[in-house]
Amino acid sequence: MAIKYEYSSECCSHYYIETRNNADAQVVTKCNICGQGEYVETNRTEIESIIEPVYQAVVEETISSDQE
Amino acid sequence: MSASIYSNSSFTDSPYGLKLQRTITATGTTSITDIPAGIQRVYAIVIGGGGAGSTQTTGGGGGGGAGGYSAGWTYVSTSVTVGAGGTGTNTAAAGASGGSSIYGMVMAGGGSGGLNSASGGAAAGATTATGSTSTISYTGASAANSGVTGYAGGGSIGVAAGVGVSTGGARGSTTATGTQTADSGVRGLICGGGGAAGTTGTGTGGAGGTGDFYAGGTGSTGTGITFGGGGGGAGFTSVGANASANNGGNGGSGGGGGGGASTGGTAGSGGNGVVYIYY
Repeated sequence: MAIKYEYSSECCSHYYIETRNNADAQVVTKCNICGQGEYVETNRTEIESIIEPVYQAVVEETISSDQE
Repeated sequence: MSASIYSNSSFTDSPYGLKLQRTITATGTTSITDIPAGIQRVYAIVIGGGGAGSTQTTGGGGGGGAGGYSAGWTYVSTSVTVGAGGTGTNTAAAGASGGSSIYGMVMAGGGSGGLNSASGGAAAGATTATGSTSTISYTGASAANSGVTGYAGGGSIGVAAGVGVSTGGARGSTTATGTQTADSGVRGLICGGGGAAGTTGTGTGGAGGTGDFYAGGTGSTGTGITFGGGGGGAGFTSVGANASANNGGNGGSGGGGGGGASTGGTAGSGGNGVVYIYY
């Protein structure tokens, strides 16, 4: 489940959003405008998410020339 | 005569006031429908997922390559895709590449998984890498072959991994007896994983590559084939994980490559990608 977290910085009230998986840690914690205060959560909303990546790269089976 | 971009209406197109407004780490595709009306363009930093390390039945596997880093202006899109890191397994085969990330017209590929050998996978540019050769960057810098420096560094077939903004995965050690030390990942912004050493003697896995902001994980050391995993490479937003026993460490979040595993251990998974949006 992905969550949209809304934050307001305690220093300059900058409104900022992080969208991340529920279990993941907050990525940006300190105000990136003035650098003085922490981001304080003001709201959170569950959003639709496709957990698996849309693009799945082809994996090479064997490379004959890569033996050392 | 001088003009200030802050008071002259001729410069309203300048990036004055540009702020980090969104950070998206949720993997897969999510919608963004609430960027304020009137915002016609945004600046995006897009990072792909890291590649998984590989493992070998005998000896050590290679580290996964780092995810790509791309940045530029784009139109406002209502969806964003963040690539997951490749998942490490205990199967003696090439590691899974990371997934690609995209917002609007800015895109970054996933790093290549470690190869089906002791070799490390390449880092990614704008598109996903598979094998030892990286991919062209978003701004057009050339792809790099094994061991070659590039915007996205090449993998490591018989040589040290290629340096770059994103770096290739390190090679493991193929010799299964005696004291063996695998290669460590190389330095960059987002880094590839360390190689693994699988030996009946003393084996030391390579550390994951250390980035400008975060460190790579350490390799595992010990006597016997249950040691020697490689550390995860540093990601854009976190450190790489340390190896444990003969298992590789996971790459750091923000595209770090997974560490290689030895002697049937589980390779490290790549770190997930991330997208930043500024307006």
